[in-house]
Amino acid sequence: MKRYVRLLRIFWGNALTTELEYRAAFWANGFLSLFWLAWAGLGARAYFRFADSVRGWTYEELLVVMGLFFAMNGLRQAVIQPNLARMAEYIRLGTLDFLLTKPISSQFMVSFRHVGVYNWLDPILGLGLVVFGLVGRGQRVTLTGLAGFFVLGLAGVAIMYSLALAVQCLAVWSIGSEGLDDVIQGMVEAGRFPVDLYRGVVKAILTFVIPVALLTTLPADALLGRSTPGLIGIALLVAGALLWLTSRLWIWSLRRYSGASA
Amino acid sequence: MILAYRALLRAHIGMGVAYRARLTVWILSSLFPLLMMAVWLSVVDEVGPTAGWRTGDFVSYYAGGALLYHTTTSFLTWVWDADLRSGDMSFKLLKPMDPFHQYLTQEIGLRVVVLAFLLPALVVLTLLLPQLTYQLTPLGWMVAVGAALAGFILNVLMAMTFATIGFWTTQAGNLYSLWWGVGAFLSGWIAPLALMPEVVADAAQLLPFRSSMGFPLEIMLNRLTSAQIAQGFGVVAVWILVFAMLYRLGWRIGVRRYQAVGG
Amino acid sequence: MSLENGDAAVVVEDLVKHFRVHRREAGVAAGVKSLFKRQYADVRAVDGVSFSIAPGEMVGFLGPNGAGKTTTLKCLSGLLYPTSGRATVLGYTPHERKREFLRSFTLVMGQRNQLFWDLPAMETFLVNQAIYGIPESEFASTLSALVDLLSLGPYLDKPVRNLSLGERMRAELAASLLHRPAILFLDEPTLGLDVTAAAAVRSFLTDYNRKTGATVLLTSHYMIDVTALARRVIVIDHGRIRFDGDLQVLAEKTAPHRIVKITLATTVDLATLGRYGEVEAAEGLTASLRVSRHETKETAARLLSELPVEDISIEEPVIEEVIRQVFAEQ
Repeated sequence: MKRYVRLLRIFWGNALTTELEYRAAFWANGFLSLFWLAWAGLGARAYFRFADSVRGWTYEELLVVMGLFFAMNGLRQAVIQPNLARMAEYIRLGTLDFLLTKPISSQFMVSFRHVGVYNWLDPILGLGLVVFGLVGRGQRVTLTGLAGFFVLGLAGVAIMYSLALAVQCLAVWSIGSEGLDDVIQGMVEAGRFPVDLYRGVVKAILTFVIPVALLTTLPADALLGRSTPGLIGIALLVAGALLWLTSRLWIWSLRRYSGASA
Repeated sequence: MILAYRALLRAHIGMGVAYRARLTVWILSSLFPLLMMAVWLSVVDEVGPTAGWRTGDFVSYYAGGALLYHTTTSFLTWVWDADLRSGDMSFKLLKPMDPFHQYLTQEIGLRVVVLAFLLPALVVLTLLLPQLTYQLTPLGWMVAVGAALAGFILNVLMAMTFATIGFWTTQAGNLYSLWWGVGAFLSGWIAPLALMPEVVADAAQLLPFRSSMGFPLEIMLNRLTSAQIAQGFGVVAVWILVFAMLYRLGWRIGVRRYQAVGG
Repeated sequence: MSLENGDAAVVVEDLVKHFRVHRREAGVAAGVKSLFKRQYADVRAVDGVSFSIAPGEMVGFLGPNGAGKTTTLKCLSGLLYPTSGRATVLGYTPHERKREFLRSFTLVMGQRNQLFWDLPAMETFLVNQAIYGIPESEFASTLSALVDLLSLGPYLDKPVRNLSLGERMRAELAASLLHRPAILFLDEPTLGLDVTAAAAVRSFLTDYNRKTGATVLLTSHYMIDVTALARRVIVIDHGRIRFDGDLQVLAEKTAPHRIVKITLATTVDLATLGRYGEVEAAEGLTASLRVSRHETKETAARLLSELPVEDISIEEPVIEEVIRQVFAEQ
């Protein structure tokens, strides 16, 4: 475990140093994070010109979901996207073979080797927006609410990670390795709004098939005092199961890749 | 020159075709217009027709919007920036042909391939979904296509003008993003302009952003009088002129700068 | 402005090119500091260079990395304008980038290419034909001649990304010469190529120069490129010219000796070997001796008659050594 932390420090430390070299970009990206947050918040206002609440969600409550989306999306852009984008390269150049010979977990390497530092402000600002929305609503967050939020938030991260890993397995099966990061971006993008705002079939898909709802809507519900222990339990189970499943899928994919099974 | 355009278009369409898998993934993952549409439909469910816009209106608006987004938006600023950083700009500068044409044909080639995919898809959807409908005469369609084309050319000119900023800074792409970030409120992307505060809608009439999104869409939804259509075309024409001049200026002093610092 | 008979193809007078670069140290702390304040330094890439090249000449521009070779070429092709001094190519001022000028030369850069990556090379050729306005018949004959000279037949229809580095370089050369430029600038054309591929490029350039009379200026830090291709060499280091003239003259000036390598039937002791010349290396049955240029033939004859010599060869001193000597002198 310590070894992996040390490796992360080296990999990510180098990425940070490189990023700092381009100082105009560094400051510009920080400013842009703020800009896009304000942009999304203002844009959402347009819907509420005509209704005080949509499907049980007020503007402030929607901001909580949106803030969580920013944090999640920021994480996605920082950790998931750079590694997914490199997957095609790994396969094409045979770097994957090279990684497999190292005495380090290959899952670790394809998941965490690279990091994008450019949107460093996003998760912070996202959480800031969450606070803004809660305050605007006058929400009193209970301890259980907060605990539920942490648990569900972690579950959401785990689910997002599992989806990404599953998509990387697809690349290993030679199903296609281009545009993997676009696929995950599309999935996470749906978490921008509370899942209740989508209708019928779409909402069902986003809750049960590709559980994007768990990424942002459920943790928001917890903060808003609207979730139940049962729901939290289910979310944990789902997250854990997905994590375990995709890890096994990765190992199985590698075995097929190196021709170990028939 | 015509021969050069033909050859370049042929090559760039070829590259677009070679790239089609990646393009398809990109298109299918761009959910944003559908998300916005979904929220509007929920608003309609909640309060009924919104400022006269019904479910069908929103569906037609955003479906058309998705098509327009993928065919008229220009990402040349980043392509140009990548060429500058990699040194590939040198190759373009060594040819006896202004890089403007090389980039324009590249953009057209890509959009042609995207259009070949999206247009049939939209037509099929129009046949499948009853709420997705456009009541336009053939003339109306020609006008709409003309508006979209004009919007496309304006977008390309804007993208290239911002791209020339890349001769001085690495932030040209981000500046262009900012430009469009603000522009999204004024183009009809965030919400149909009819549903925005009057101040916004009025300003949008005179600004370049509406030309490639709201203007063609409003034509497609039959919400404009002939006078308003004429005004829209006038606005596009003026902005095309403005950005054509800005581009030429940016290019001329940009090349000087490139020759001074080595790119 | 076109060239008159007897005019030089390239004239460079006191060319100077400076750049301002930002200095940075390693580490996260220095990185954070550079976010707020930057240190700049002046780099004199080309520091007063003068030479002229006649039409049809083939000249090698030799020098270590960072010597100013690429910068000079970029000034000659109009990609850079000089800080001071003048450059004239075929009567044109390069940085004005006149259309007729751009049609009259070509720049080829090692390990980089202008070919469309996902398409077959042929597509790039067709685009270049259109851009340069090459009439169909002329294009057809030029293309077939180039395809022959470069042995490109089997590669024309494969996507460029599937070609090897050597094949790509040859395709790049073809793409660059379709418009029959009067001048070729080549910047490290054999960089990264294996021995066979590099030899192929060299032999092509020799043929091309002979057949078309095009002026060729190439830079390299591989000695073999220059020795195989150019009789005239310009040595550049730290932005200044150290030598401009015949390669042989350079070799003789700085190293008036040659290397005699022998393989013996039985071992001979060092003292005996030393009678014939300075022993550079001696191991087992082989030895190499430094012998003064004028005495080479004599010494070789003596070695053959007096010692049990199985094999003998006479070589120029390794050019790296020659160059090192040139730089050490200044």
